[in-house]
Amino acid sequence: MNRIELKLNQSISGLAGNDYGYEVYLNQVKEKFDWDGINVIVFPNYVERVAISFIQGFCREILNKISKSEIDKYIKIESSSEYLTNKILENIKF
Amino acid sequence: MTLYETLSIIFMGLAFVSSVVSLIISIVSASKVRTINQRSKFYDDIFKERILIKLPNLYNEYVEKEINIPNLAVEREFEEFLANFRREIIALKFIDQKFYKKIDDYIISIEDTVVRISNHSNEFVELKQKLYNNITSMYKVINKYFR
Repeated sequence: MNRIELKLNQSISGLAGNDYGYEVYLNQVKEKFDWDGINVIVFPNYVERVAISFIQGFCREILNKISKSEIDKYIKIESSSEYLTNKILENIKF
Repeated sequence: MTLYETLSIIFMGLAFVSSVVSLIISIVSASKVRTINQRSKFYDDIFKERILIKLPNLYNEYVEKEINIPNLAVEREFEEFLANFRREIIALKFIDQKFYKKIDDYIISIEDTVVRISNHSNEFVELKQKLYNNITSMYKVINKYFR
């Protein structure tokens, strides 16, 4: 499994903004993403909240290449809580 | 043809045209009534309780409590409310795509601001105002649609 650990501003516990989500994808995920296998995207423990807007920006390009029903074949999420992990996955698939 | 016969034909023609116009008006009216009834049902089922009770109460509770103490429980309640709201309006996608998109965008924008507020940055006052403005704008769109 391809593990991608996000490095973000530690003073911010809530991620928000479509543009910011896209920027994080471009700078930290795009080049490392394995389109032939599972990618574990790790949100740091200090991130407690992720807004829908961030998730939409983060997944903008990914969802241009794969369908929502295929997400589980390519992406797993690790985060500070099960609640947050589920929220991120649910909103990628929404 | 006598004048009487000519006038009779004209009046019969007018009566026919008038009945056709009446029929069209009644069909259009019935269609409008159906649309109003359908919208009224959507308002009652999806929006009424959420925008008249839950959203204003969550706004007050969240904004007031967040001034002093970070309250993850209230924030999650707010987030879950917005997530459910988003799921509930999905039927509108198939009825009125434009209205659906507007409300969906407002919900996402409100949730975005809720998450930003929880960062307790020095932008709190501006974000609180933005949250208020977002909610007010969404209410205007909803009220206009269901008026």
